[in-house]
Amino acid sequence: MTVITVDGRSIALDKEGFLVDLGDWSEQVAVELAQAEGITLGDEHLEVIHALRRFYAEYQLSPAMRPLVKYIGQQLGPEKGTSLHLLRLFPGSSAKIASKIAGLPKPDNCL
Amino acid sequence: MKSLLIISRHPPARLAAREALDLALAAAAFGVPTAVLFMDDGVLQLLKGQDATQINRKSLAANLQALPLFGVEEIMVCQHSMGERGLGGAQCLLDARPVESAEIAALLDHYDQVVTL
Amino acid sequence: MLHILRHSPGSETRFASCLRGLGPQQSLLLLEDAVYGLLPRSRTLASLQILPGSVRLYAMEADILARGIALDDLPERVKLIDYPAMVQLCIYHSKVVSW
Repeated sequence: MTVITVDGRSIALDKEGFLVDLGDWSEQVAVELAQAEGITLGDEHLEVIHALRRFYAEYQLSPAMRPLVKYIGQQLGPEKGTSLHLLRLFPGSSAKIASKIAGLPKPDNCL
Repeated sequence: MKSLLIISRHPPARLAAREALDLALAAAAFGVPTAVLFMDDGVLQLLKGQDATQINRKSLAANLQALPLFGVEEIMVCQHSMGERGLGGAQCLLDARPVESAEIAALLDHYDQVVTL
Repeated sequence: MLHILRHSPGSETRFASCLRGLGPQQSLLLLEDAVYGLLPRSRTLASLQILPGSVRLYAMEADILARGIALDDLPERVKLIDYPAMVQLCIYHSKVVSW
């Protein structure tokens, strides 16, 4: 387990960098989590992050890539609901990285 | 790709209900044309107003509503099972298509693979 | 005697068997999936309602809320209880039968 400090608060991360306590999340924490992934958060990232948090609140699932693309399309418009857009913002395993930055729990399955 | 019908037959607090949902999500994630039929006590998964926190569980109802987003578009509910339990479509939290008993044989025939959980 | 049911009436026969074995001065507690027996307009609710008035009926409130069964639709004779009350019931009755 590692600990990062944001605004003077200590925040615990598990060994893969997910928040231990989901209540620790704030936009400021998201900026730090993103930096650890080599991503500088901009408005385009943040709207995806907030959509992801709504997805989790509604369905209590961390989405895989396909449902995430579909959901972003519904929420932010079809031009953003593409895997290319998400891959550009969150290179690599987009769904997993974005979930981590959004402070969602580590997906308990591979779906 | 072969199509898959999952028949979910148990109430939401039973592990089998969760397994049926996971199977549906997994199959759809791999691009399998997947349908779910709620039958027998499985129709109880669809009841509105469930509050799983009362018994310290994760909400199956919330997860079920993600089925269409995960690519499971064909969601059906056995009308006979609903009737036996005094339930109507208005109490359903998903937009599930009601199927008559007579239709079920045709469904079993139509899908390449059928799994009952 | 306190009879306890915790399986859904729709999945097998023990719900019906319990009702057959229930004596007129006895108590019945519905737990977990057995609370589906209280669904309005269901056959099981009808069979619970024709039990003799001397049978005391109890149900776990948390199990009812968890499953989305509306409290206001429940018949008056069903007493809703919490976990400490369940312990009390088990102590109060000299014999407990779990179906």
